[in-house]
Amino acid sequence: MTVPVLQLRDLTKSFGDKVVLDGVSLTVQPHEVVCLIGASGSGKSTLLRCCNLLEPASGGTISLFGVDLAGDEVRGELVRREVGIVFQSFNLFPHRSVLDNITMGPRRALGASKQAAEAKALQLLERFALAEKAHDYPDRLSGGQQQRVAIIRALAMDPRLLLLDEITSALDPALVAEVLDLVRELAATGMPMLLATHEIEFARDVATTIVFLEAGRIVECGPPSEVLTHPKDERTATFLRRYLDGDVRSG
Amino acid sequence: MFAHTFLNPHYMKIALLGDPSHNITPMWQAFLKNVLLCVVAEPLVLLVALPIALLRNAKSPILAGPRFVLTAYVDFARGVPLILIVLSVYFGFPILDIPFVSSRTWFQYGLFCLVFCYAAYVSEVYRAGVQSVPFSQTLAGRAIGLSEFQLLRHVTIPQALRIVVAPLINDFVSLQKDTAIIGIGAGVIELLKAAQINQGVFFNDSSYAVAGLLFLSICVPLTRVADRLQAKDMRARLAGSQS
Repeated sequence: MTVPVLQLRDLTKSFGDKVVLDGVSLTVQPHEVVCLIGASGSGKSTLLRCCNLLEPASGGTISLFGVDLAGDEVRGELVRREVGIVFQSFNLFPHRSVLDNITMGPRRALGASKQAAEAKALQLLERFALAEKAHDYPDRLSGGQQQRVAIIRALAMDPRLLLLDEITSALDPALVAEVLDLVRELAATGMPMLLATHEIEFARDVATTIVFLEAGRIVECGPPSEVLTHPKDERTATFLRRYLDGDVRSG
Repeated sequence: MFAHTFLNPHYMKIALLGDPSHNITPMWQAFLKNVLLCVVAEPLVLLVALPIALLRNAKSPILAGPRFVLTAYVDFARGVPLILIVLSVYFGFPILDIPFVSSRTWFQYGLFCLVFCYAAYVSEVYRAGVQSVPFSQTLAGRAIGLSEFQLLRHVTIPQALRIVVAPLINDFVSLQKDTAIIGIGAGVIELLKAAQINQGVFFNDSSYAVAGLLFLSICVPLTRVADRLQAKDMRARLAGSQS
């Protein structure tokens, strides 16, 4: 049996009195793409941020390649060198060029040389058709380009797991496709991913497992052909109807 | 009458260039003391204020003690008039009879007063700068595995500095003017003292106009630079509002 990339057991998270995650258990296996769906406020973002310790969990266990991350002795920065995350609002560093955005992590956190980090960054930019933007500053890029750079910034760290937090929600509908295509390409290379998305059709396409969250609990979990096509739970069905009927956007 | 008293070209010229027959220091020479004082004080202020700001912004409970002390210092230094500090230092420190403290030069005491007062102001400017860098930037820095120190060094501080350049220049302008207050305690002939002596010798106030013009000759260009940077920063932030 292979060791799961990520395993959450009974994860809980509260902010004061507010319970955001209420006993979430899920597993990401090697080469798997797990999609979290659910309404805003259902706990998707918090769940992702707990996985790389950007938020400390309140209870439960998180294990990464079989290593338990729960102990306080585990330093978040070490975990985050292995687990990349991309945010909804890109969060590129506005004071650094595209190239410097991408090389900062490998150089500062991983101790790579400037030449090695830049060579690798340029290779990634080339691969995703952004090479000519290497020396531009983020504010010169479109939203779609910025988000692709943010994904490359995470990839430059050679992550063993990638977390994507609604990465197309802040984009113009016209720019969504270029970002989703990149994610599809990553999925095809076998990069394990855990992602939160509102793009149901994209999730159907790319996910090996769909997890439907509501109020911090997993309502339903399974392959897309089951959860998205034949939801067992009425709450999942209601959510999907609202998204698929009301919102014509598709990945 | 007004022009004769305050803007008399004859006395202004004597004030600025000196008058050997009356053994009066030229004011441009006296002004060099002010310039030197502020030019040396400003980098020290910028340096001393940074750890104060970072410590006061730090959240670690271990630092609660230093945080309390620094908060008290900043409140004190910003709340007490500089002239009071100057008089206390110049007329108090020498009679304390403490080996290192009591035997300093007027210049060193002046530096101390200015740095003591202005580091408090500048630390507040830094603090505001650091706090105005969006939290999403902190998250992004952590996301690529930076340590908290690397985060400050490569993400937060470079962005905060851009924001604070203009307010820092404003504080520098103000420090530059306050070198005149040092003269009150120091007992050396810097610009303000020189103007007073001049006024006493000739019974004409034009030397004050010369002093004012000399201060303005530094303040006005600096203020214009600050305005320009502020406008540039605003444009940059509007352009980059998407990230």
